[in-house]
Amino acid sequence: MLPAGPLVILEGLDCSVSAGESLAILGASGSGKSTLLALLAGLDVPTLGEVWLAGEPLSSLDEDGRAALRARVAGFVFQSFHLLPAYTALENVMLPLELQGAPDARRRAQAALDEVGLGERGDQRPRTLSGGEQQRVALARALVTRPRILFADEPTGNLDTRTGERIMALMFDLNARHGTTLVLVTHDPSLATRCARELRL
Amino acid sequence: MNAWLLFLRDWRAGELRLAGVALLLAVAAVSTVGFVQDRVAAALVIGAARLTAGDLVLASDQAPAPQRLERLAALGLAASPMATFSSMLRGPSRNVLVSVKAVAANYPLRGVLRVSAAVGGAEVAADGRASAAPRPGEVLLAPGLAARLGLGRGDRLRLGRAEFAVAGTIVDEPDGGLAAFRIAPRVMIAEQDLAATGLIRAGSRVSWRLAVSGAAADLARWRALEQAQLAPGERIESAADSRPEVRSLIEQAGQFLRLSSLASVLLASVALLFALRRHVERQRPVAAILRCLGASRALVWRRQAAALGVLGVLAGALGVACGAVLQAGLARILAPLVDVPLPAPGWRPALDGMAVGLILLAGFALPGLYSLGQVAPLRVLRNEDQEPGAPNRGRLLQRRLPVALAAVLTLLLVAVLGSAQPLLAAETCLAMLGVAALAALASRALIALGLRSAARLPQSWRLGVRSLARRPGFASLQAGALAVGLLVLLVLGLVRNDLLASWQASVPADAPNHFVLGIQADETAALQAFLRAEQRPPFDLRPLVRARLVAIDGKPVDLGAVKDPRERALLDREFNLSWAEHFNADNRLVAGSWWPQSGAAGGLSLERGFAERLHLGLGSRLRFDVAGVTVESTVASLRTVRWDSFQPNFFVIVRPGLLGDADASYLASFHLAAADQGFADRLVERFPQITLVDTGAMIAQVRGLTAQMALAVQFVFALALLAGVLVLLAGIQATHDERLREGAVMRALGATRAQLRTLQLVEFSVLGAAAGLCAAAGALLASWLVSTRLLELEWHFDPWIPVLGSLGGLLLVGITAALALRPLGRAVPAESLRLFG
Repeated sequence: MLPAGPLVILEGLDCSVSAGESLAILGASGSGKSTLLALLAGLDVPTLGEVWLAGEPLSSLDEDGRAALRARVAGFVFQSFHLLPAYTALENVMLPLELQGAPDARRRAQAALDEVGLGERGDQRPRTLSGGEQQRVALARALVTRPRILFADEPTGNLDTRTGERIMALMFDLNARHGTTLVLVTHDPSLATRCARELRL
Repeated sequence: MNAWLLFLRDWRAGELRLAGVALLLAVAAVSTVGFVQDRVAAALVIGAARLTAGDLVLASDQAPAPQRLERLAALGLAASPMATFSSMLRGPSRNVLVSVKAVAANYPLRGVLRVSAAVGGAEVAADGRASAAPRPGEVLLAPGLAARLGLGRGDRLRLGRAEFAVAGTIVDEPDGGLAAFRIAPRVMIAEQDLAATGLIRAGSRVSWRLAVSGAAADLARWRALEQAQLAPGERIESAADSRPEVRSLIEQAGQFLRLSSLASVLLASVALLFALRRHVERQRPVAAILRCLGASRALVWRRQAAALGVLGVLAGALGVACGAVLQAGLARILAPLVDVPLPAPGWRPALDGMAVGLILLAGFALPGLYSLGQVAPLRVLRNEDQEPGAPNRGRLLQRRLPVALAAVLTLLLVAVLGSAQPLLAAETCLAMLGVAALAALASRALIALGLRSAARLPQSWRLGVRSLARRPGFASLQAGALAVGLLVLLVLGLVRNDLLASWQASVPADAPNHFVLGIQADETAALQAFLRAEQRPPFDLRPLVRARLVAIDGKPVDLGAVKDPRERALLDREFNLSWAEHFNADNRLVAGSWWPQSGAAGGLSLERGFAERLHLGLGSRLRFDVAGVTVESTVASLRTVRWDSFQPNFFVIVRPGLLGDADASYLASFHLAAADQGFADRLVERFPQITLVDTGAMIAQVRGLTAQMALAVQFVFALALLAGVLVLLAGIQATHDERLREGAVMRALGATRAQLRTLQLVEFSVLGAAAGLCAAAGALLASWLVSTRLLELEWHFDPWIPVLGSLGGLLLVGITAALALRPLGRAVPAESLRLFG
């Protein structure tokens, strides 16, 4: 049964993330971490208040406008990877470039796969890859468009500790090399400490 | 992005396979039925054409002009002129009035002229010629005539100024027919000898018939060309126009074939609808990821539409190819049974199949694909199957209503396009939807009942009911689809039985096979006495008076003013009027009353089709010229006549006494068993001036035609049945993923295979029961509608058929489900679970 009256998930929140910064959003299950990430990435809109992404007020954009903005500036990594099962690893990485109509999608995707150490396994389908490998493909997909901001939703949540650590190391390394802004949702305090800033909900 | 590439990726994933197979099936069903129908219809036309000795016949009272023959040759059509007239035949011992038919060497263009050397003797081959038509100087005789004159092969006789040698007797003259009601026996000579006889002179009554055959398109062109410049008294006939009994058979068979084809399309559509629904559901998470990665709504759905477009074209082409292969197989089976070689199919069914496939795909898939564009990107953050926000009824309705509406409209469109009677097709579709809705409700009621009594049910039964209750929407959809499938099969089965029964009934084994014509009034008593002496029932003698219709409602008939050639043909000839005290058993009164009480007006009873063609109704006043005496009266009743009963029937029957003492001859029909030929000989010997016409051969032809059509109907029905089973499979496939996952979880929790099987059987039995019951109820109503309104048959209520039908349907559902779901029980749980992450 739903409680009577409006359900308030996030209220009185005011924060900003500067370019190149890394922010960890921490909190227990149900505290609204993922909702905040969705709001920041324009995947959802707040009932009240305003979200600015890369200098644009999201409320002034419609669904497709926000999608276009995401395509331009944002990359995503999800807890459950969300690779397209029908596509090979390489095709999954090519996807965002293809959506933008980039002419050299295949070459750039191959380069991104090389960067995450899976250059040799581009023709494999997600089903045949391990969880860590799948997340590396997802990471390559997120970074292949050189996004200004990377949103990561519990990127290590479905991985064992060692694999998770390796993924995080890769992520922070890429973040540093490309100067990407990083917004990370996690309930793992040790992961959060590696970020420049923490936001507890 | 490249549509072909997208299609390949989706196909590789198996996402599109089921949709592709369903579409292929839909197109294959349409095109197979189309091809077979095309060829059978063409074979039927050929079969019927043999009854007119050509595909089309130009009837005229003039010999065909040279430019007419040149035009035919230019169009690549074969032509065979023939002339018929009455004349005296001068035999060695006596002279007889005969009906002479002069034919060309290529006679008959359709059908076979069968000839024997002597009466009852072996058939003569055509000596390597294409036809047994008489050569110049030869004459063929009707068997009765040869017997009467004692003439045999090689004997000589004279017609007009020419002398002929008897070449044999006619066993079967394909276009001999009944229509002319020939008074005199047939004599056949070669057309080249016509001039030598000197019998064709100005003023002689000769009827010319120019038989024409060739490709359908050329025939149509020729018909259009000629139609525009027909002289008065000329008309073009096809087999169907000229032979009412054949026409009604062809029309009924055509209606049933179209109906079966429509049924197959509808069934395959249901399968496609299931498959596409599954495809769209599976594409939902993909769409969410794409949206998250920044794809616009338009891009998401354009991308899917492109992939499905490739699928449509590929599956369509393959479907047509399958249709072509299937129909070739069918043709091989049919070939020995049909004595006409099946003509090659046309291109039209291929195009129809493709068109139907694309229309179905567009109508079924586009709304679903559009909804993919509306998928919220937020979905990717939530591993759930619902849209953000409460999955309330309104939201579901918003998503499903357009899909459902588009599906209904698409089915209606396909049904209406594919049917000769759009209104009826639309009604049929709506009725089916009604039954589907009813079955959906019934399945819900059964589930509710099952849940309420769950505590008293065995364990796996309880699980089965709960499993259904967990997806009530899907259960309703499936019950509805099953009901429609079963309904279509039941209706087809019921109508097919009615149709076959009516065809078999139309030519009973003891149908009259001989007509006796030209019995004079003063001979009737002697004739009946002769029959008593022969210990045979008396003949039902019908009077026959030749008359000409001269005025309608006081206005003289002006042939020049009549536009419709068939109407002109009716007015331009002498009618056979008859009178009768009592109503004929094989007629049906449709308007007015049979001979109102004396004093009341009205002394004519007309056949309905005849009245309609001449725009006559109750109370119309007709004036006839009967051998110079004028007879006038009004129409008292309209009748329908079963021409295929082979009983003597008349367009116009008059009240007894109305014709005064006009000179009438009498006619009768009777059945003569093959072993009883002696009776016919004694009859002719005793009454030499009467004419005996053997209609047995013609009945055999009609019976052959009927058997041919019955076979075609069975084949098309079998195809629809196959489509019905495939719908079931598609319906089961649609929940395959879910069942696999559930089965794996249950196996992991320790359920045995037997338990899983029982669970699934319970599910499908409940669905089958709901669907079967509703389908049976709908089938009765629908078969009544189809039989009485579409095919105009007598409808019989047989309470067993729906009962057996629904039980059969239940078994069909159960067995198909059990077979289709067997692999699920064998699946290794770990693999199934991993597959779904």
